[in-house]
Amino acid sequence: MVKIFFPSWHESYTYSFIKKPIDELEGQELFVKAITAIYDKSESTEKILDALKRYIEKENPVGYTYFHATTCASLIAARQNNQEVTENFIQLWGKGYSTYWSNYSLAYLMRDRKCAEYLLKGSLASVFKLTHEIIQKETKEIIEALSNRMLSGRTLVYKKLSWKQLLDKISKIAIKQKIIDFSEDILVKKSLSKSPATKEEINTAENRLEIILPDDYKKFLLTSNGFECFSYTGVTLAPIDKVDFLIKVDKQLVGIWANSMDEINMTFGDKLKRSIIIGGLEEVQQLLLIPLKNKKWECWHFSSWRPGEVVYESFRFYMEGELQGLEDNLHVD
Amino acid sequence: MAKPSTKGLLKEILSDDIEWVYVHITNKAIEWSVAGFVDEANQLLEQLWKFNIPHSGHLWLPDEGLQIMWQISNKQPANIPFQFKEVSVIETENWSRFFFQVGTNRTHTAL
Repeated sequence: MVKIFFPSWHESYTYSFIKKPIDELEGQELFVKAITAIYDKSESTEKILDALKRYIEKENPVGYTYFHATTCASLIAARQNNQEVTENFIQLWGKGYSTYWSNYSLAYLMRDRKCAEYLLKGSLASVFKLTHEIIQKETKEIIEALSNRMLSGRTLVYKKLSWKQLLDKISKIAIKQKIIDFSEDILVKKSLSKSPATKEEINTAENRLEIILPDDYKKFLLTSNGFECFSYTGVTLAPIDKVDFLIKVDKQLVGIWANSMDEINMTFGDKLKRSIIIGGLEEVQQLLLIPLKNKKWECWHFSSWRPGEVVYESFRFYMEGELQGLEDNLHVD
Repeated sequence: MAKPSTKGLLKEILSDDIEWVYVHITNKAIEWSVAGFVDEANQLLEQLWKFNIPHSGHLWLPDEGLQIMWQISNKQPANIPFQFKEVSVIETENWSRFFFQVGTNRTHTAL
């Protein structure tokens, strides 16, 4: 079975401590020992639960590690039929979701009958700040929005904003959130935008590429010739003179992906070969514009870690999606 | 970083790819179900499924979690768009994802 979910610890890391009694360990070694001890039964379940409790309380794990530790503790405690301990760990697990939601998959405790029995008691309702009334209201809102979506198709949420207004809004929230470290220059001018491109610069690029670029992207360039990256999963949008076909910039990337996807998706490789890279040059993820045969365009956020592409109907949809993500992270429960 | 709000979900419903809209709404139902509101989650899912959006392969984990929650609570919604699996297989796979012996590729059998 492939361990896609779990970070494997190599023996070269664990050999110095894995045989020690769990009471003598602390920090990451304590956590690794606890998880391993469940498998090899080198410690009693009670000691393992104590170790995980100590690790969670004293070592202050964050993100995925917090999720992993509280999930493990909840699963083990539930199988021990220890109600108080199980409910405490499930509470900790639930509290972590509010902060580390992007590291969570809620399904893992549901996929275990013992844990599911505890979840059904509703002890996380107060942690998630949910009531029957709130849920009824949200159900109505969600179904109404979905009905509108199915009637009208995919629509832009911020279509009334000009490009300048949209980029200013993104800049303002991103700089406030400080997801990544910004340069002094950005902090002083309080903007992630660049100087506008000229029509001549855009024409020169279109002649060089022998293609007419989509209108929304050209309007963006006329507002800001590129845009700074503001998140770990985002891209730096390139100035127009750096924009080129992906196959010219990274032939190897296109070759690997196009060949590996041929059997699954016949159009993927063809699209990737025709794609134009507008962001993420020499970065972990790329932003691509794909000319379609019906003269329309797609915009792909492409990464090997996801893996693959997230398709947007246009560049504007991508940028609005980025703003939506920023706005949602500002939300305080 | 606060978890995504329902306000954000409403915007995603309007603008996101329909498969991801389907995934996001299902995940909202998962959140409610985990908090013990199984009836309410089922109500949302039943209404979602009426739109006949193709079921997403990205939801295999939540599908398995819901299956177990439904079976334990004896509250099953109508028109479920995916196949059930053997519960013991789900649990074994779930367990093996979290606990394993370092340095081997054997799957977990303890406890």
